Amino acid sequence: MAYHYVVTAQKPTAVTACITGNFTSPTDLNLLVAKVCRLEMYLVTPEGLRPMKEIGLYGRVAKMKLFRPPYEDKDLVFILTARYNAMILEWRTGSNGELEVVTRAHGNVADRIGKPSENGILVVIDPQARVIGLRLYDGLFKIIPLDKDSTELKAISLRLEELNVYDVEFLHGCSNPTLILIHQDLNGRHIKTHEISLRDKEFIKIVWRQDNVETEASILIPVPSPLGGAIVIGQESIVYHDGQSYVAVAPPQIKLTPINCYCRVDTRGLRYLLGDIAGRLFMLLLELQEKIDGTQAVKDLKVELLGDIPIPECMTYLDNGVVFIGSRLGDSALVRLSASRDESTQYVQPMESFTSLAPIVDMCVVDLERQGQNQLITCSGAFKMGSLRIIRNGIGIQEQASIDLPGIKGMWALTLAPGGTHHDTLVLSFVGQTRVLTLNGEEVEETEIKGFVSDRQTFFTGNVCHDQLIQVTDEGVRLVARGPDGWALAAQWRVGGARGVSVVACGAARAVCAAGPRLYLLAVRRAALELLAEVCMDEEVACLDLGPGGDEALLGVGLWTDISIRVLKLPDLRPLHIEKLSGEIIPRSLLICVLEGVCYLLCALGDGSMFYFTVDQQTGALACRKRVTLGTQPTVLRSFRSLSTTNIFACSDRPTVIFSSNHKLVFSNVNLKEVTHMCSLNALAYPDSLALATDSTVTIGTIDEIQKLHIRTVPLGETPRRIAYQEASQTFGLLTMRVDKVEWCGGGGEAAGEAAAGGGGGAGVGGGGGVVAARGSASTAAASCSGAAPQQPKHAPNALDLEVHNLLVVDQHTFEVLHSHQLTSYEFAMSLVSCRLGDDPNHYYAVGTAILNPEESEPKQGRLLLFHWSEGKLVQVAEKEIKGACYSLVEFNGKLLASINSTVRLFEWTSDKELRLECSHFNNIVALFLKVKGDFILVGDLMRSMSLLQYKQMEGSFEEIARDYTPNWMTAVEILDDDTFLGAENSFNIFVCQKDSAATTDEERQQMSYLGQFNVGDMVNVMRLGSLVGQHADTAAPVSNPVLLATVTGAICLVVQLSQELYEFLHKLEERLTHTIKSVGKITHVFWRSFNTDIKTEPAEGFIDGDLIESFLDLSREKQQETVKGLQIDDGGGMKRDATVDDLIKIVEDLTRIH
Amino acid sequence: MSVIEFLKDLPSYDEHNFTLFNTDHGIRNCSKRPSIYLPTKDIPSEQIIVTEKTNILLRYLHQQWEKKNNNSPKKRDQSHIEQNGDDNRPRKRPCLNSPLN
Repeated sequence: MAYHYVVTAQKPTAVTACITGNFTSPTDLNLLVAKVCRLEMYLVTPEGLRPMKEIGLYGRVAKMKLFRPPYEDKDLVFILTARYNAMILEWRTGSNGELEVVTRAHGNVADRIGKPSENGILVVIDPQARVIGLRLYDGLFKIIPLDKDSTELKAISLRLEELNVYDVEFLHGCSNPTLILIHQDLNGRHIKTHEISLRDKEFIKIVWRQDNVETEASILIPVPSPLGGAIVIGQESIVYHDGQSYVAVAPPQIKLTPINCYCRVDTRGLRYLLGDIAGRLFMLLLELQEKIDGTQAVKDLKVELLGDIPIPECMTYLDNGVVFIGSRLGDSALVRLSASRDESTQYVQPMESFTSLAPIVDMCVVDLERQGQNQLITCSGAFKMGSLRIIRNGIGIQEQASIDLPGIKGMWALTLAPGGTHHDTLVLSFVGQTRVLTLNGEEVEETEIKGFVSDRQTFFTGNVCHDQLIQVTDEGVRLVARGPDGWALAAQWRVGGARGVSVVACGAARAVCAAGPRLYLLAVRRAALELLAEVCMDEEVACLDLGPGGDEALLGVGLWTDISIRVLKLPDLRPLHIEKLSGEIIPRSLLICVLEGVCYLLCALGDGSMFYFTVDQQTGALACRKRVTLGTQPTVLRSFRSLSTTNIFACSDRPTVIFSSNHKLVFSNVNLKEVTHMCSLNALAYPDSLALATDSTVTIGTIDEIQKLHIRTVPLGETPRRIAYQEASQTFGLLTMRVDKVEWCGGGGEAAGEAAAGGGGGAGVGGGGGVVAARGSASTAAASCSGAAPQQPKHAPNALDLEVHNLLVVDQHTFEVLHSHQLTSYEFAMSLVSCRLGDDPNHYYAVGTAILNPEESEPKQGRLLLFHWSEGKLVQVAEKEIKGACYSLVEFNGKLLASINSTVRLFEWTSDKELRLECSHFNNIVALFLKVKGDFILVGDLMRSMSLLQYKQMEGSFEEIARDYTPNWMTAVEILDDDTFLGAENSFNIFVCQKDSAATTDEERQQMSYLGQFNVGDMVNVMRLGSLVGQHADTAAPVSNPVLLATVTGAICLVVQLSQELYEFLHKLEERLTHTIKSVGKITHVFWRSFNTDIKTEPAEGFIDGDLIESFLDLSREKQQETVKGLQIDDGGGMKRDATVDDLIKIVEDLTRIH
Repeated sequence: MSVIEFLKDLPSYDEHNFTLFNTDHGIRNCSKRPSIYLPTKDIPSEQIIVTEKTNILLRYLHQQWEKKNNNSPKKRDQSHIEQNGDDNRPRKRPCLNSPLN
């Protein structure tokens, strides 16, 4: 048996719906964003959007609508999931002041029979909140009358004679709820209205209709009262209709690309924003005229192009001209509409972007920096929003400057300028000396501070109260103040006795020095130092730190010999708490700091491990003891501020940033090899930076935003499709697609010239033939180009757009496009691999293509192309015609394995540098995916699940070893180990199959058995072996064979194998958590995770839901206690005992560190 | 008609909203994530949404039948049954092995 754990490393980022309303209180203006199965609530404030709460739903949001019943003073949300769970949600402030989400109503509205509509689910709510309308199945319309007094909301199906409905809305200002819909029949598209009688639960009459509206009409916008009626958006025209009057316009601006979403701007309904699939924003304005009877009527419709936005999926007007644009194809954005346009003739100004990886089409896992830590490079986004994303677990330092200085023992930033708000000086301490550097703009000069000793090692220096500086050396403390001739020594305190000061902690007005076992507390006064207290500890002091709290701060002390931590309290250094650390390694660095309102004490030991505790600031008691391994060398802990939050830097051979997220400490790797010391630096030229010392250098750099997965974007401006890494040439190969505009020769010359100019670097490829790049993008802006010139394909002489496919060679360090090779006009790039074939020492990029002819049901032709990149040149070394589309390519035993339409074929690389077909296998519908291990090949089929082939080297043939006979439509496959295979299919499920080599009969052996199935709730596009966590990282969790999964909605998941014991233990915890955590919308966890396709629904098995397990850490202590109660754990010796909360926290925290 | 007219007097709910939004340093990248809401309190929902299981054809036939019934009330008049109250045996026997439990 095999047991698996699946967890989300990156949540979905594609925005599927957004609405503005008063959700959290009658006066709050909120933005609610749905990202597949997560809802994010924001508050609109003067500073921008403030995140409030994020909710995970046990379902994919199909539609989300707001409504306000007459008896409510704020808006409610109706959500329908893809599996037909309906819910009405309310956000309110609970008794404890925390925001809570109340499920006001819930239930499943699925029918047992019925043909799900091909145009998808449509949900509409009557403007007076009398009824909710759902179009789920063809020929039926479901209504849910909203009756507040009944405990049951009855969903009733009505017969809808229009089968093919494109959009439906409720009209405003009707005495009975009245639907308007666009439907299509043999004659074209029509609009029709239906009045609903809520008493009789039926459609009573057709109020008005309009046959033959535009053939591509697809969006209805109901216009609020008093105007009423609706706007119909078509591909070329916009129509206003209210039953009597009919106003139509055909604005030329909207002709080129279809409009796919809208939002209303003003409540009267005179202005609307329209977004099209090219990412352009328009405004639609209804112009009114007064009729004879004094009422207003629509006179004209005006459309104006406002500017460029991300390709929208949905949008919503927030306030004061600010609009949120949600996208599925790239970063979502907050934009401001302004009447004054900027230089680029835009009335839209971007304000804020919301990173999105969606859709991830392909990815590769590479250890680029050779630090034993993988990075993920994804092909993300599409069209103008296409990009590469470099995803790394951890935090990056962007180097700004560096100075070669070996042997640094300590480093501090000071402000010397009177009234200065920025650091202007860096003090560096070495063995036996101290040096001072002035930061003069970006330049650094060595200087001196009068009053400072420079022939001793400084243990601490800093700005203290009364505009003074403090310097602590082994002889004692020096206070330096501003005198008439600049800085001068103002006071000095020398330590008595034979022992010099060895460690120090200092606040703004207090300093604590330790000499041997003696502790001295000094008050910093104006030009004076006063000894306030002196105590003798049991052992010598190894490290200490002052907590916050000024005169009554806590002091943490780590001792030699007895290896303990003591907590003392100022001002009398009263002992409060003793904590013995196990082991014999002495504490080396101690830090007390407050993160997200929780006070922590951290103590790093000489072996690179660290203990951390929470501190009760009153009693000084330490609790929640935990231990982690950060590195292998003595670690120095320093706190720093970044983006107005306090974080901790652990300097060691594996530098780590520690920060608090959701009241948990998170340990994040840093992209540096070794750091010995660091300090915060906020200089004018280097704002919000860090100074980091290694053995030989000081580096000044800025730190990435604090987050666990770090995402860097390389915009491409065109759609990336496949990526492959070639270590030998230090490059990535990348297949991309761009859409060129075809310009007409007759009369189009001027337009073509204009477009080419707008396209920027169209040189070399955009040339003749009347085809021009729509805009500058990666393939047109490449350093060099090769390949065919674009030409009008024979099969589509009238097409306006032309898809051009390219192979790009991208530098692995700079991500600069080194070369672009263009395929022929009707050739699609399908697959890419970097390979080394036969005895040939060269590394090649192999590209598989398909030549498309729209008259054929599947491609009948294609090519295999082999390229060699060396010395800045791309050479095509081989070309092989194939009979179909090459969906997948892999290197296999020094040969090239390809899946071509329904076949799997092996090509060998002959000594004459030719690809020669060696053997083939035919037993698939369309062989889409290939994965190999040893002699085994896993094939993922379009609709026939997975099969396993074995390559018989001697015979030179394939043999089908085993197959899964269930009809799964595959989207990705991967080999987990010799016998276990992971597959993803298109109803958002993943499953694990196993080949049973030990079975007795051939028949049994040929059948793969199911070991696990699970609904991940997202379509997996790609699977790659590997994980994002460094191999050296402290992964105490016993997991193996990690696989990364990337999805259409931009999520990244990790699947790992577990031992049976851990699986069973976690399964019990999972079961308990489903009871502790109440699902929003009251969908059960069992329902959500059950394997669900059109033909079957079966309970999940063989997988642990890591997202649910990890939420254990977010529970309150009482709830954790409640969950753990009665759970048995193996004590390590085979005996069972009751598990404690801390046992579980440790297990679960270890699991969180695997991604 | 100029774009100015399209964009004048954009609706304002609170005129202060977005006034302190700083775009001097270029486009901001939103890095803040909302904290996660993890409900542990069981708040019963006030209403249950139930979907009618009856087939629309059956419902239609029922409606028609009821309509017809209402139009000719005499056949199954209460008084009619009472008059024949002495006749204990119903004309139709209940079907005991009904497939509809």
